[in-house]
Amino acid sequence: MQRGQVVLEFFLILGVALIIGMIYLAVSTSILADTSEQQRVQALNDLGFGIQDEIILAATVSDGYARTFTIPQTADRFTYTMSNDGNSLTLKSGPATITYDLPNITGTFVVGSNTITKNGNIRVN
Amino acid sequence: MARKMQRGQLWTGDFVLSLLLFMVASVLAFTIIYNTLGQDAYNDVRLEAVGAATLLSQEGYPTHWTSTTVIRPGLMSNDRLSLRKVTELAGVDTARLRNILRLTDQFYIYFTNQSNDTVALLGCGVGDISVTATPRNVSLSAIAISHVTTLTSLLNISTDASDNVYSNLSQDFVLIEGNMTSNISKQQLGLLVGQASQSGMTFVIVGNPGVQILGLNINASNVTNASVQASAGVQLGFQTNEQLNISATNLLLSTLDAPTDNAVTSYTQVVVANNSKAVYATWVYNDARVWYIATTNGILQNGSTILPTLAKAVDAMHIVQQPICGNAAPPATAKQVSFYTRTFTYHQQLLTMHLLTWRTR
Repeated sequence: MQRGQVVLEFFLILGVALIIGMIYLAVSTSILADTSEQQRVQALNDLGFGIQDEIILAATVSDGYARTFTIPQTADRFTYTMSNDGNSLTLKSGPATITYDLPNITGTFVVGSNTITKNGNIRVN
Repeated sequence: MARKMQRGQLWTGDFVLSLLLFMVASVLAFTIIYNTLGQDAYNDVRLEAVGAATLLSQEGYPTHWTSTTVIRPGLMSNDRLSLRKVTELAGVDTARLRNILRLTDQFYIYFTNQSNDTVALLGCGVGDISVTATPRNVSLSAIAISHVTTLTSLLNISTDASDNVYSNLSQDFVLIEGNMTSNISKQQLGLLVGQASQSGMTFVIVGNPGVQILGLNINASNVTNASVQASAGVQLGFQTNEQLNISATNLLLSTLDAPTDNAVTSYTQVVVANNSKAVYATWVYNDARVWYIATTNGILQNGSTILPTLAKAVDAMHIVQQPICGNAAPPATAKQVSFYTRTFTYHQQLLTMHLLTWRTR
């Protein structure tokens, strides 16, 4: 056996292992990325529909209603930005932007404590 | 004789064995990850289906929502299935419907009767499946009310000790015609229609039924020659942009003021002439869809008269498409299929709503 034979066999084995490892890494990264994006959308929806339900509840009760609720800083583990106008709320995180219809409101949602009141119309903060 | 081993030489057997072990470990890892994600995916699909079915079993918001105003869909009205809301749901496009039903997966909604035949309340269904449909016209159950006598005799009106008026008005389509201006008939009609309108009926008012009927103020005014431009999307017998020329003088026609009754929502003037010579309007009164037509016998541009055209249009309104539908099944590539049903009573029969949701890999 020649001296170089060890090196050749070593690199052959190393190459095969690297190729298998790279394929494994690529596939699992793709699956995990897809799952992460689904989780991001799910987290935004949990937050957005929760806020929508708060406003709809306020819209269906009598005047004099008041309630304080908290909007978290992150949606699950995902950071997001939030904006609203008189009849919709938009949440944006990474590539996902989702808009939720709301009954007519005045005021702006903020991260943290929010107070909804109803005296004729619905006011947020 | 044992083979002489050189330093560093790898046995072929060692290599093959280690490669095999590595591949078994990789396949095992892939399988565990794939199966774990698959099980969570089914749970997600199932929970979303439960949420959507729960939403549809409520009233929704706004309470008397239409396909353009819906924020949260619900098919119930006054604790009963509302045909009007089912019809409005069919008018929402699939992408928006998926969003407001809080679904992220594919879905399909359809109704069946007690014989498990598809009832085409939503066409054959709404969602991500195409079902074969054989066209078929069906008449809605309908009644015409032209006089208070008709009202009392046909509807078995009764009054309880508190003077509450009850009726067994149960048709899908009610035509109110003629002049119902007497106070008694106006009050009774208003009360009865108010009750009946809770369950999604369609009312068509033709002519001049009197002031303050179904939430609208109806006035009369003298008018002279004028022309009418039909609005886009007009429903009753006129083509879009058709010009109607009314060539009479000193006509007494009805006009509609803006509604002041809180029960009136989604008010739209479909066609209005200059000086309101001929009027169509549609609105939602409680949970009833109301169509209003008022004109005299004006002349259309082609020389024919309006009234026969209106008569044909009204006659056509209670004929609806209820096709014979094929079976609905998710595609072969569907995974994690969830099948959810809710049963409602409707006009003394049981209707079952089916909600299919699935994820495609």
